[in-house]
Amino acid sequence: MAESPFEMVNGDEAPARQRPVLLHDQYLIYPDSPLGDLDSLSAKAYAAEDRRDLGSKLFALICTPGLPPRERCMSILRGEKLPGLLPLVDRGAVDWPPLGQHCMAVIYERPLGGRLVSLIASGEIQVNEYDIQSRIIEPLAQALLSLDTRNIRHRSIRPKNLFFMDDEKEELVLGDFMTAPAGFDQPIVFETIERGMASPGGRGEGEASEDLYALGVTLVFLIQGANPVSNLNDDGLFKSKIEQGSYATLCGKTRIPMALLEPLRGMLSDDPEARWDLHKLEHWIDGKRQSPIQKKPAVKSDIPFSFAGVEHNTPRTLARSFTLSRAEAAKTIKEGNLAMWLRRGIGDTNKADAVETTVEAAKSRQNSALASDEFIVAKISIILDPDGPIRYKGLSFMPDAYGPALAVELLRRSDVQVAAEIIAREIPAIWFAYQSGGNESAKHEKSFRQLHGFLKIHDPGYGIERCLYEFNPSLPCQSPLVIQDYIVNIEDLLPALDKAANRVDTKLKPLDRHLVAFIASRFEEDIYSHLKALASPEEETNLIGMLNLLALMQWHLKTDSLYGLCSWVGGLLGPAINTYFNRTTRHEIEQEIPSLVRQGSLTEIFNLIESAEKRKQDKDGYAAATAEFAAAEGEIKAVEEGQLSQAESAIQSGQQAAAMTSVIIAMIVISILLINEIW
Amino acid sequence: MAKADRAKQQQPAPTRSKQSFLVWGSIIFGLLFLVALPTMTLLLIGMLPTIVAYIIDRTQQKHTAFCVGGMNFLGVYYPLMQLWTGEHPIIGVADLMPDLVDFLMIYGAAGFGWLLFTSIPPVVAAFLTVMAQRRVATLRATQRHLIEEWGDDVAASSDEEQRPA
Repeated sequence: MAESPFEMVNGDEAPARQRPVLLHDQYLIYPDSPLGDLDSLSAKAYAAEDRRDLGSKLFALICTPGLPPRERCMSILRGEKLPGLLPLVDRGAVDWPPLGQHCMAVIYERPLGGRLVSLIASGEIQVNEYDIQSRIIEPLAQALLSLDTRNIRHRSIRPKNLFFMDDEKEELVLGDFMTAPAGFDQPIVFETIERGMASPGGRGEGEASEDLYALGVTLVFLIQGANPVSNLNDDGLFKSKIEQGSYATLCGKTRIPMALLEPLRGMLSDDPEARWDLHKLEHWIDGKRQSPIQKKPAVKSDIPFSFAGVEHNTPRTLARSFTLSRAEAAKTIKEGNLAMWLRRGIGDTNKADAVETTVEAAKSRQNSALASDEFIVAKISIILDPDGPIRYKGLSFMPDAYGPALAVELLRRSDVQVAAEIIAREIPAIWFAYQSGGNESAKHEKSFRQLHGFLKIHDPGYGIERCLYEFNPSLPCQSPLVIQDYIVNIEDLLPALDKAANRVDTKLKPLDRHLVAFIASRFEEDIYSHLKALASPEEETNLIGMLNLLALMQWHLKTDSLYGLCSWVGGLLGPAINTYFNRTTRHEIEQEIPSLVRQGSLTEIFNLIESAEKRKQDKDGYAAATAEFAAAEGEIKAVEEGQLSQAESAIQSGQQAAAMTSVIIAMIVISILLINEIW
Repeated sequence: MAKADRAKQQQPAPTRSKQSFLVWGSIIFGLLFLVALPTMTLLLIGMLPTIVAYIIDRTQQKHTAFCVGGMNFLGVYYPLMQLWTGEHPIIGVADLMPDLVDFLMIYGAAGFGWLLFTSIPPVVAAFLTVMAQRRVATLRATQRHLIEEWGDDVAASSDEEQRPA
């Protein structure tokens, strides 16, 4: 991890200039040199330079903390120069003074020509129908092909995200797309209908056709020189896209150059199967004609279904409207008119039957969570619009974007209850039941089953926190203990906790639910038994489990000495030490801990506390001591109980002794007298 | 039932042997009187405290009789030796009786036997009590040491072990 080479000056008088931040000992990022014209929607741009190559022109994007960047894409594209794509130079977490915490910084080569839309607006450049193919479509198609070969989707194609790399404004490139979840920054108009209906964090990567759709919308914007649907709000835009189709909505009232009719129809098709893929676009660029797209009319009813003051002619618009007014929707659904409208108006008996079954099932299971208004609306929305996102209590996401949606929920509302309920109530399973299948679908279905398994267990290392980290590999650990350190890699966790020991209350344990879930999802070793110990209600078992897990991590990850963490953990081990019966052993351990803390070795502390030989000796000794105590107690009792009868027996013994004494004295004296008589 | 019957059959046996012991004792005693009248007279008169002690001691061990008897016999021994060695010739029945000094010696010795019998048992009892208290103190010290070394649980565990199931 990178670190700031300079300390911020604390106090009322902040320095006029902030010192540059160093990333990987190579890149200097200047917090006091923002580059507003290079900002992306979720990341601010700042001037940056390479200390080893001062001539290079770079800039840095500082990601929003808590928003998971697309780490997989960054690791693949780092250092690569692909045609049509803004070159990613490096990335890493930095201690970012303006926010007072660590953030992900992404270093890009600076596009010297500037932003395309700014150039068009200033009149510096004009895009006409004759050169749009060579200047825009071809380089962008080239970029998308390069990304496709790496199984990456851009998901951030829009006019404002196009730049010229060179001063001559010849080399057009796609801008940043890795500082936020896929599609997060996209205005709805650039998203397909189904993904546009999802929350920004829940749009998902999708397929290459998603990028082609956005490219098609971008081309329409560039051809028209403005937003053709600026007069429509979100509801109007969706209604128009669903009922008229995207192409008609975007291009209906304007003149589209003949040469672009075919690709735009292909790219803006609302049917994912019919929409152009990259090969079709490539063929078109090569001059090969494609078979024309047959416009599939939307399934419409002549009889509108009135809901919330709006008349709906398609199940899809109705589904969206239901999920926006859920209480009213539940009432409408239970009234029974919906099934009739689906049967008679839409002519879809399957949907009508499914709605009726759902309503009947809800009536028969009243007071159950599965009969709640929210659940019914979520299920009905899936029945009405199976291609749409999963929508529940205001959270909507495509199944491939559950992870980012969860992270965004956590970031924005600090509450993941709704996301957890979706898994607990197995709403994704309902969604998958209405899909035609496919490998991707099966993969996601399996993932949701796994998540459901995690969620059912409430122990540390499981629950919604585990789901969060399993589905967001690039999300930093959200534990309050280390959140400011932006810990994405498990190797950085122990050093961060070591640092945290100096600033947090060390009466708290160094492992909370977020940390344990983070470790469980990122640490490759089997820690099932450790998680079991951490879930134990017994404090001592819990502490030994915690120490064992931290020691295993330090040993396995070959982490350097951790003086602060050792001291922190050592101070908490009282109850664990007290599990030894022998007080001398306890005292010896307590005496020895400080020397091990000075070594910074959790492994040594663990070996001291949990030595098998010592434990056996202690156990055996305790058993022997218990037996000895019991024997002594028994003997004392016997003596004390015998005190009453003992007086009598003592008298008897005394009488016996007196008799013997008398007889012996008599015998001795007689013997003496007899001997005397004989002599 | 069979066992009880057998027990009943066995019960009269000691009475019979006691009776036969008395019979045979009386015969032997009578014969001894005929053979050694002076000795037997001296013993009968001299050992009277022992005979009394034997009678009044209701215990099976007859410690009183042994204690008094031992000293009493020591007192009788000297006149008996004089009788046997002929230093004190017997002329009439009166000569069979020991003189006053002998009586004093014989009964004084028997009295010393009584003294032993009354004084030694309390001393022995006191000694045994002190020994028991000392043992309890040692055991308590051992227990205290065990608690200091292993904690109060050692006592709790031993209580649990001793608690009936």
